[in-house]
Amino acid sequence: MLQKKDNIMGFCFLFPALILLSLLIIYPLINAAYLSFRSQLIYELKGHFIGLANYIETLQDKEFWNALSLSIIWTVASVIAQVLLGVSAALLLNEDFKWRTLARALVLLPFFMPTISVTLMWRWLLNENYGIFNYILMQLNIINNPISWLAESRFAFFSLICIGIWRFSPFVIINILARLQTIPLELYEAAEIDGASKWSQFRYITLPEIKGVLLVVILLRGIFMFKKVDMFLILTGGGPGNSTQTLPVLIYKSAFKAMRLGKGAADAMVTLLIITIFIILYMRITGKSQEEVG
Amino acid sequence: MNFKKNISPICFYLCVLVFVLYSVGPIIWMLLSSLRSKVEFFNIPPTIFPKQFTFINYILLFRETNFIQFLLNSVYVTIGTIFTSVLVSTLAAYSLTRFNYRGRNLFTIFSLFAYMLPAVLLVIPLYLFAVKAGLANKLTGLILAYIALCLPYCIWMMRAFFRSIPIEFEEAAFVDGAGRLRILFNIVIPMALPGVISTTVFIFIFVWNEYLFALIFMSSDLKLTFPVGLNNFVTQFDTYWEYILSGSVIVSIPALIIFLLTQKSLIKGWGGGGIKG
Repeated sequence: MLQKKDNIMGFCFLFPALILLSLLIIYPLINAAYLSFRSQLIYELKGHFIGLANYIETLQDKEFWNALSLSIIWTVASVIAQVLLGVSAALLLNEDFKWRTLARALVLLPFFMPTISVTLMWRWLLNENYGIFNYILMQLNIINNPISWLAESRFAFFSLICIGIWRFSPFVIINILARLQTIPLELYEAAEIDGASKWSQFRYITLPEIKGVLLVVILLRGIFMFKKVDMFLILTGGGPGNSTQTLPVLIYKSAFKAMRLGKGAADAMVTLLIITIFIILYMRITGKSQEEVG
Repeated sequence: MNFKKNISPICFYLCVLVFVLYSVGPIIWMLLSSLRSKVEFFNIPPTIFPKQFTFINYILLFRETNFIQFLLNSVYVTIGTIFTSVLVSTLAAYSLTRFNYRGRNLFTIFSLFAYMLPAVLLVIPLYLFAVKAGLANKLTGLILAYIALCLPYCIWMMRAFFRSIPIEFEEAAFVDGAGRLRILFNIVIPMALPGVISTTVFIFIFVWNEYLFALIFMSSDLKLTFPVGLNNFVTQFDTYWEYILSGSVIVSIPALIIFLLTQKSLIKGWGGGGIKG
């Protein structure tokens, strides 16, 4: 009854949001698309139309393909590791034990620290000469000489992946843990009576129950890892060489280092195309459950 | 599932301990490092516990650098973003859940889509926009950009909260002759308070983490927010670890307090299909 009336008023409530989103997201998106067909340097107020030249340059650029493959490796590797680590941790933390609440809070900490704190912290830990990490590895005789983890192209990308895993696994833990708590214990008790092993309990009870959430988490983490840029800018700036230059870093560098806004916009539009596929996939999968739940 | 009974308890606790150490060990090391004098930073082998605990790095950070200004800037931007985004998203969510008009669903889906867009895509046109509007190197410009990045998810989150509030209360008030605005402020918003809190926490965490826009929009040292300010202590010639470590610890404190205060409800809220990343 209430819902059908005064729709004009309802629209008034939406109006501020509509204005802000149009001005700050829709218009910039259109503007980015427009820019991608132009040559415009950062200090120019007006560029000029160059058609598809930016796109052709992007697609012919070795750097672009390098960035794309780094982005894919970064996303896939870190999401797989986050899921494996996150699910194992969630299973452990779902058990009943002393200090459980504390253990849960501590394990989630990395996710809630400010980005700048944890990235600079890792810079300190991985410091070539004074870092505790090299020191421990040398004490354990795993390495003989200190390694420059962030400044050597062999190690920099790997180090970043490990830092990403450390920081973002708690996201998986939170979501899986919440789901695990809703699985009825009777299922396990029945399986126990039937003599099912721990592994088959996991395989045939836990896994099917968490499958839905797991899929959503994987997609979300994939999208968020794919667009991650701050850690790279703070720790390596895409270097050494272009060994850690993923797509978002490439966009940043085209637009603000090479100062070519048009080229940066073209890189960004190609990236948008890729990420949109995954966003749509995510919406398709969650769309149904959203309707039901909320 | 009960592997505690299955594998030995010692092994179980060992696994938990390893996970906990892996998660907090680095953070504790940062804290311990920040509490030693600069001379002790570069000891080889490193001393696990500082020979002498000192707050000298913290004192120097406040006395010798613009850190307080960075913090104030961050707080200002956080408050500005929270105030605008919470207000606008509450109104929007109320509208989306209590009225019927065309384009409602499209708007909702677009909000979710906008939330997932890479910030680096929006930063190019928004930077140009800020330059043209005279908002580059102004904290107001940064607030506007952060609203752009936060608002879509705030709307999405508030909408979910509003949907969970039964409409009967409002209908009763409506029958009693209460106006729309009174219903909104006296009935709906108090009931949606957990949503308002979640949204506020989300924005706080977002602004506290944001680096890219802060880096591009701000050029003068006194206008920097702390993520860029702290990173600037890494210079081409020297890295001022004494400032970096103490500053990193300080900015973590508010984040951790908020985490501890809201931990339970956050985990519940995000577990129910909520998202953040």
